[in-house]
Order: sequence, then C-alpha cells, then structure tokens
Amino acid sequence: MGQAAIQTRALTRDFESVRALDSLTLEIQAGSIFGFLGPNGAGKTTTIRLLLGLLSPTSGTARVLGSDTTEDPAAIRQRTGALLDHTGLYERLTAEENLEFYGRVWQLDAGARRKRSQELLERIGLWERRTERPIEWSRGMRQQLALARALIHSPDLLILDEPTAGLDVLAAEAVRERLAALVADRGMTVFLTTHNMVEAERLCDEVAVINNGCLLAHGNPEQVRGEHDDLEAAFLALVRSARAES
Amino acid sequence: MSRDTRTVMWKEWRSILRSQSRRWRVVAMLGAPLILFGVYVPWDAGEYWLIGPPPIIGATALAILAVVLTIPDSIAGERERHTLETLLASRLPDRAIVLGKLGFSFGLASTIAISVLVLGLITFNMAHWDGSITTYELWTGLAALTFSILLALLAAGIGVSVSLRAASAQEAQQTLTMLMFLPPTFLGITAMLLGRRASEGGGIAELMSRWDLVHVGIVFAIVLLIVDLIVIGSAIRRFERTRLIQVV
Repeated sequence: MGQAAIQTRALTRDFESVRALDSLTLEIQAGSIFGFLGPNGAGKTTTIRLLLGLLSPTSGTARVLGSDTTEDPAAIRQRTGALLDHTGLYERLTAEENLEFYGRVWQLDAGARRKRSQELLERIGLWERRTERPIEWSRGMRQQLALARALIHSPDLLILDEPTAGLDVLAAEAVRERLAALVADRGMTVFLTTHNMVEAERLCDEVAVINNGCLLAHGNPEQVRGEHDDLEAAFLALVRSARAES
Repeated sequence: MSRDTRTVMWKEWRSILRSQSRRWRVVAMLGAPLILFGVYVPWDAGEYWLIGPPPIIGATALAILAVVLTIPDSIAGERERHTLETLLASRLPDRAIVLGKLGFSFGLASTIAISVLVLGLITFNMAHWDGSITTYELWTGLAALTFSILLALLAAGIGVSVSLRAASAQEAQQTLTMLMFLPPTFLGITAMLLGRRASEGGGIAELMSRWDLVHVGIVFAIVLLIVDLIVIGSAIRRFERTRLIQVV
C-alpha cells in the first residue's frame, strides 16, 4: 500500500440539528483517482469543504497531504487545486486573465505564469481564444478552463465537485481523458464527486458511496459493484437499502 | 501578505476595467458629481469654494460613493456570482482577501477625493485668475482630505460587514447607501435648522454658534478615526472562511 493522501477518522459535521456527515472514515491513496458517489444532499460537498478546511468538523479528524484540516488548512490549500460545483470563473476577466489571477494567487512569477497559462490553454485547445471572456463560451469550454485554473500551480491533489455535470458526451470525455493523463503523468491524487456511475467505474481506482452523511460502501469499483451487473445497479441497491432501513 | 493583498487588488482593478457595464456605471455615477463638484461649483462659488464647506462635502460624498459602488460588488457580488468559494479554496489568507478588497476600494475613493479637490482648484484658478495660483484655506483643505479619507474608510468597513450579511450585491449597496448618506443628510438639516434658530438667539443653537469649528473638526476627526479602527477591525475579524461558506 502507498502513502495516504487523504485520511479521515469519524469525520462528522452538523448544521444545527441536521447531521450532514456522520462518522466518515476513509483512506485515499496518493496517486489514485477516488470517486465519491451519492445522491443530492448526501454530504459530498460538505466533505469537500471539510477536506479543504473551509468548514470545521463537529467531531472527528481529517488529514490531507499530511496536514490536519483544522490545524493547518493553509498548508492543504497551498498544494491543492479545486473545481467546485460552480466553475468559479471571473466572467468579467478574459480566459487568460483568469489564469493570470490564479497564477498570481499561487505566487508564480510572471514568466512562469505566462508559460503555464499558455501550456494549459494550448492543451485544452483554447489558446487562440485566450482574450475572450468565458461568459461567451459553452459550458464545456468554461469547465475546461476552470480545470486549467485548478491546475495552474501543479497541485498534488485535485478536488473536483461533479466535474462533468451538464457537459455533453465529448466535453465530458475530454475532461476524463485529462484527469487520467494527469494521474498517469504526474502522479496527482484526484478526489472527485460524480453522479455518473459509468464515469466512476471507468475512471476511478477507488469509489465510496455515501447517503445521508453515512458511508455505505468503499473499495475498488469491482468490490463495490459486488454481484450487481454494474456500479449503477449496486449504487441504487445500496442507497435504497439504506433509505429503507432509516 | 502584502503580495497576496496586491494580487486581490489587481483582480478588482482588472474586473472594473474589463466590465463594460460596470465601468460605465462607475463613470456615470462618479463622473456627474465629479463635474458638479470639480467644475461647476468652484466656477460658480468663487472664493467660497476655497474656504467654505463645498469642497469638504464634494470630496467626502464622492469618496463614499466610490466605496458604495465597489465594496458590495466585490464581496456580496462575488458570492452571488459563485466565485467567492473558489477564491476561498485557494491559498490566499482570509486577511489578504479582505484587505485587498478594502485596499482597492479605499484607494479608488481616495484618488477620487483628491481628484475632485485638484480639479476644483484648477477650475477656480482658471475662472478667477488674478495673476497667481490661489489654494485652499488651510483648514478647509485639511478637512476635505481628512473627512473624505476617514469617512471612506468607515464606509468600507461597514460595507464589508453589510456585504457579508446581505443576500445580494444590490441589497448590500442599498443598505450601505442608506447607512452612509441618511445620517449626514439628517445632521445637515438639523444643523441648518439650528443655524436659523441661532440667528434668532436661544438655547443649544446659540451655544453651538459660539463653537470653534476647527476644534470641533479635530475632535470629530479623532472620534471618527477611533470608530474607523473599530469598524475595520471588526470587518476583518468577520471575514473568515468558516463563516463565509454557506450552509448547504
């Protein structure tokens, strides 16, 4: 077994009387793609916010890239790139300026910012359109640019909240190919949430299923699928069973 | 920290430059009063522009207006446009983000306040040229600079707190406008009424008419500075990631 990039121990978060995350214990290996699956409101986004140190846990602990999320969240964010449920792109800025800004955020010097922006924009085929504002673009193009922004500082961990949601088949495939290449080339760890079970099965080394804040299953896609025909059937069975029990 | 603060200021500046609708709105909303207080009033008021309250009122109102146009948009607006959470997920410290936003808004407000004073002076000298350059009466010039800067700081501090609570940039802008412009309007009307009573003689009004305005101004500036420090300190403390992330 390799080194763990993410470790959570009984991680719990309450919002007043609602328990959004209930004793989540996970270990995610460095250099792997991890898929976090669950219906809407299951606790996926809360988990992401806890891992990034944007929220404090009610109880339990989480360590990301060797740092505790409560004690040293800045160290985690320094080495992490995030694409959250909205692209987070500045629509008043051009594509190039969006990357320029986040390059400055990660304190890349002017030369490195230019080089990295060009490299990323060329890779997603948007270099020729760098002076346009992303508000004029398709959702797929904006998502690609947001992914490029998350990669501007070559992070060790990439956290993605439904990166292919709302994309057409081609755009979604381009994002998936990019993620697979990143892990293969750079050994980056990817934590992603998705509703697309086919995507999870094809892309992820490990998946976990969560419902109502509780972890229902965790393992490689084959283990989670078990005797079911595919991951989607397994997911439905797990969630339905959990809901019937509660 | 200062590099991070400058980074946020850079983004705010680029956002204004790139946003055509916002740029024209800022130009229209600041341009009209700038022409009024920088050209028309100095031209029309003559020497009164150099010794009376018009430059103080003009510089202060424009500085506050600049803050009202920028701070709510850069905090509540950023949350509304779903860019704030990505920014919070970055390595930038909370303090650098808020100081960058405050710094940009305050810098713009100060530049505009100084511009109106300089423009007013140029206009006055062009309109009333007597062979040498005439400048502001010392206390008038100092009061215009001091109060525009201190009140812009106050507006910026209140603006951050208001923007953190408001549901939208528009709501934050309306609340901040009310908070910053209603009390001076009320005080102005009260002072005017008291002034009228003073000329008739009697009570508080007569007592106030004997006040030394320079001393009153100095005391007011000191009180304002203390209030600014408290308000800005509180705004910086409130601007925390864990508070800003909304409950899902």
